Amino acid sequence: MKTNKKTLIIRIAVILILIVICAVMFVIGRGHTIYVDNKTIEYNGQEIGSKSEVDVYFNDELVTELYKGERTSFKILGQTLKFKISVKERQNSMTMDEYEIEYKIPYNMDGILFSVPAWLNELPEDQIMTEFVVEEVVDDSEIDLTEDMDITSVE
Amino acid sequence: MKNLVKAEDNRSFGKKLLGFIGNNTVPIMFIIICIVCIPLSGFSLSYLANEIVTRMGRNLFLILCLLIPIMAGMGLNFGMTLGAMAGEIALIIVADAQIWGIPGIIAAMIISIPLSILLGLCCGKLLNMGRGREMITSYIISYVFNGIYQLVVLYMMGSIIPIKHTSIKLPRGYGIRNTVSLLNMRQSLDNLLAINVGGVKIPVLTFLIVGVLCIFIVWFRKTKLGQDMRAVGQDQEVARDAGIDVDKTRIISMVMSTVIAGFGMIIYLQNMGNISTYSSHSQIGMFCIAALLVGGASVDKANIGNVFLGVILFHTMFIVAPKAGAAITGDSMIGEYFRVFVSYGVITVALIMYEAKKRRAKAGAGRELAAAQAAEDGGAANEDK
Repeated sequence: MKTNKKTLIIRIAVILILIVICAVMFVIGRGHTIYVDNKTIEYNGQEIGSKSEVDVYFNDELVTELYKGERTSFKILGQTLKFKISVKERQNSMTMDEYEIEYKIPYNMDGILFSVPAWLNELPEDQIMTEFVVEEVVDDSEIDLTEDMDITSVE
Repeated sequence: MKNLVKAEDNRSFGKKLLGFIGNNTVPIMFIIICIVCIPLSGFSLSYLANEIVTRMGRNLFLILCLLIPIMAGMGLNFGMTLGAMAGEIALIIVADAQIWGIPGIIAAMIISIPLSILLGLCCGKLLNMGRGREMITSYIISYVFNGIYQLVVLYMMGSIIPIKHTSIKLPRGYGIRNTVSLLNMRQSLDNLLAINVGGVKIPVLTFLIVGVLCIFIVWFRKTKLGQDMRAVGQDQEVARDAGIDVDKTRIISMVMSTVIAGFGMIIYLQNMGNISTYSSHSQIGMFCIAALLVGGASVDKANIGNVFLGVILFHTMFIVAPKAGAAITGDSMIGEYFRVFVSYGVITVALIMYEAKKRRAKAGAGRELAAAQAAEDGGAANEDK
């Protein structure tokens, strides 16, 4: 009986450990696509203008240089968004102001649109970060599933 | 005297050579095919090496899952397809949850475990009912469960089992698309500790994982459960008389094989970068078994060396055959059909050879028994006189 009880406890412990590891993987492995905007936005009837140039850095690497009206994207794992931007206010300006940005990302959002002009003007968070939903193109040709088993391919 | 000894040595060397060729006909045949086809294909050695290393990383884990049922005397496990299906379902769930990279692979492996255990239990119980005909039973079981898998994936996912992303669902709103992209997980295991040696990319982490499985298999053989499986594999009646629960041991071997197959399929698909939802698993059993047999394994005996040799030879042939066929006949489709013919043919040859060897051994044992009986009767008759 003691051995049976011990075996049962070990099995339950193993199952619990696996569940915990799986849950941790679901949190740290959750992927998000971050779209960084340098576009003019409207807030309370006012226009918040885009910047002349915004250099976006992620993991200390330059993602891209954004000019007025442009957008870029990069992918992250986990629930913390952390990246840097260098902003040039005017075209003929030599100085670039550097900023570090850190935000907690909602778990349920796949794509997140981050507006640099909104952030620089300290607008509310729902104006800075919004969910970005990619429009799905419906492909009706996907209906036919009666493809032959491909017996010649092996990888 | 010396000449007699020398003649006997030569005969025994000749016998040994014949015995070696007889026991390794299939690998020798494949080595000859590869030696002929490699120069004809025109591929450079570095390209070939790169392709073979990639395919080894992709397939080794899957083929290693076949060793445990062979150890338990259940023959070639065509039911490994069930583990492959469990791995695919786990990956679909993980892809829908948008879990990327290595965490996605680990999460998929953990999710596949209960599915694989359930499928392995079903398969094991059915194989116990079909005792003595395990291979054909497992072959048909894989088709039956393929039907259940398609029912789940084509009708239940998206309707009963919630699937969030339309990129995975069919346009009609339920059912999974033909291809599920694993772009955010693609080769994350292979690239993590990859090294480049002379233009050949070696996925070190993948090979480390394969190494851990090999060590596990070697260690497992020495455990009580492993010894029980070997005893069951040799003679079920004797094992039963020794107090081993034969049915339970056979089921455990199937469960273990199915779980390992699930992990192997996840490693395979992360290398590929996408899931062909309705066809990825369909041929995986056949080709893994063919590769194992090409490596010199048989229905009742297989080791880790057979796995490695089989993957190298089988996949080398797969790489070079189409181009070699095109070089010989002017039509690359000949090479395609040739490699399919060889894949199925090698299983047929191995099964025929196994059966022939079994009958020869049985006939030999019968003759020895008859000779021993005759000697006994002769001895008894002399005593009476």
